Amino acid sequence: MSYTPLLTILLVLVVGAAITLTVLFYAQRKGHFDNLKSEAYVIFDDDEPVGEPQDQVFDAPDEPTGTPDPEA
Amino acid sequence: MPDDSSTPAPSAGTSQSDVKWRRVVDASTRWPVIAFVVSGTFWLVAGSLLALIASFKFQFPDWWTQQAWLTFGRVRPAHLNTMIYGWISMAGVGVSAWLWARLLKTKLRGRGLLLLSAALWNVGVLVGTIGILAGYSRAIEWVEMPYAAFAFIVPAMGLLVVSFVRTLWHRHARHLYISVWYLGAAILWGPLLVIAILLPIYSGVPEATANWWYAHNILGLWITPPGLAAAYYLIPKVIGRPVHSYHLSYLGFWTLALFYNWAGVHHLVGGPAPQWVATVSIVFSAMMIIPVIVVAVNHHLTVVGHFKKLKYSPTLRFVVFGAMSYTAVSLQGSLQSFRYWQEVTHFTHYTIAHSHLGVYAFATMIAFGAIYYIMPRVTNWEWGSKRLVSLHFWTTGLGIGAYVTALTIGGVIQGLQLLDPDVAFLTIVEDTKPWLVVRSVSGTLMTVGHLVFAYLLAKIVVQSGERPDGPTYFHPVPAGTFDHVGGDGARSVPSGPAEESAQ
Repeated sequence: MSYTPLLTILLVLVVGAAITLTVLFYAQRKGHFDNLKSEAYVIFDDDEPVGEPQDQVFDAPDEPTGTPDPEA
Repeated sequence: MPDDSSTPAPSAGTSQSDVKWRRVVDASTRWPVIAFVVSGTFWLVAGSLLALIASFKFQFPDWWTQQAWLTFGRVRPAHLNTMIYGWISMAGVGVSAWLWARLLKTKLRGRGLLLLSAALWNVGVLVGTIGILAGYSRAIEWVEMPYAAFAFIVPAMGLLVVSFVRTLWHRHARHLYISVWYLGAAILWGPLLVIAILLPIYSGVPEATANWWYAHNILGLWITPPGLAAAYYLIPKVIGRPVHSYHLSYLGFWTLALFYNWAGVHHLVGGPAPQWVATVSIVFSAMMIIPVIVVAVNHHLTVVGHFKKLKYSPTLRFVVFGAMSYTAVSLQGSLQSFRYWQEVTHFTHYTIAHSHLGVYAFATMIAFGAIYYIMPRVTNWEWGSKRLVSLHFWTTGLGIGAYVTALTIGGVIQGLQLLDPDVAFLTIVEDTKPWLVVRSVSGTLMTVGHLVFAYLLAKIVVQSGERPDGPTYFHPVPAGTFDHVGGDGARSVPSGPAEESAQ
């Protein structure tokens, strides 16, 4: 009986798990998981802020026109 | 990390560079996204026609049996492979490429490589589909396409890796949002899985074991991550509030990453694979309840209080439908891995219901929602008809609902009857027929929805008709539903640069 198929899959699983765990611990050491509460807001900014739904199309010309609002 | 001066850097204050970076990034994704989404939609329609042929044969078994390439044994795997490798993979790549550029806040890199990838991918799926219909199907479920097809698809997947890594290298984002983790994981696992299953080293029971290790993982580690990535981005963005618990989102990702890989052999419970292998897979299938509940809690608590927005937003409606289906299919999957459950449901139509709940109700519906959000941003146009978008939603939503319900009930009845030695096999066949009629009817409904979607997609890509002056919502939005949106659905002028913020 050949164990090649089982060993192949186990090798893939072990390599995959090793890469996954390496990435996990590297990210932790780099501080990626510090301050996660504020990082949920990275998809928002002054242009697309929290509280404003972003389901609209781009309907402005490619280049911004108009002068910045001094009240902004 | 190199400083990329070609993309205006996003900054905290309201400025022209804040506005422009999103515009520049979206424009950079235009042709790869269009290539993958349009290609995927082509395969969606082709796969739907193959599905209808296969399904109608249950009602008309003598239909088209004279031509070998139209027999059920070829048409059905052709449908499965065009949907997996054609539709959902290509649509998923299109959505993913837009997402990772947006989330990394830099122009998409490797655009030429992605266009080459799309071309190779299409050739591969075409070769594979013709190969299956011509009788060169391989005996591995979910990988029936002949080797020649993967000679194109594997390099195409490799080109994705190059594009993703290059874009990651040039990122402006300080923090990798949770969706980036899902996308990066899929980019890593997908090619590994495909290469592993293509190795010519399997036969007999080990081949079956490898088959289902692969098939289960290609669903959970290639198809699922882009769907979850899209949901984690689009639900907060459309509603305008962050994910309920960002901590939980990481718990969900890492438990998926560590648990999912081991669960595939639950497809072989009761079969000739060693019992311990099946038991390990059942244990990890049960442990998958953790990431599934985490994702469900997160998505639900992000949407709670804002469900009325589903009335208006096509993106939100499709994505929330898909997210709820993810919870349902994943919990169902955990339960049906148990031996006592499989005694009834294995080898029945119940399994088909489950697989369509996953690939269609979850992944496909989220893909539709994501495409409804993305295409206006890459084409600088809008969807042409809210009525057709609504028709698309109701045909596909009702279609898959009826499909899953009918085959679940019919499958359980079938399974209970199969366990009863006093029930004749032909009786069981007769008793499944009504459920298979519902299958064909609901499949037809879904196909109508796909044709409508393909039409809408063609119109937005070629920018047909007059330029719409507002978003395509299902209904006009009453004042106050969206805090900063006017009563007619058009965006009110916010207190920033007048035209710049019109995005």
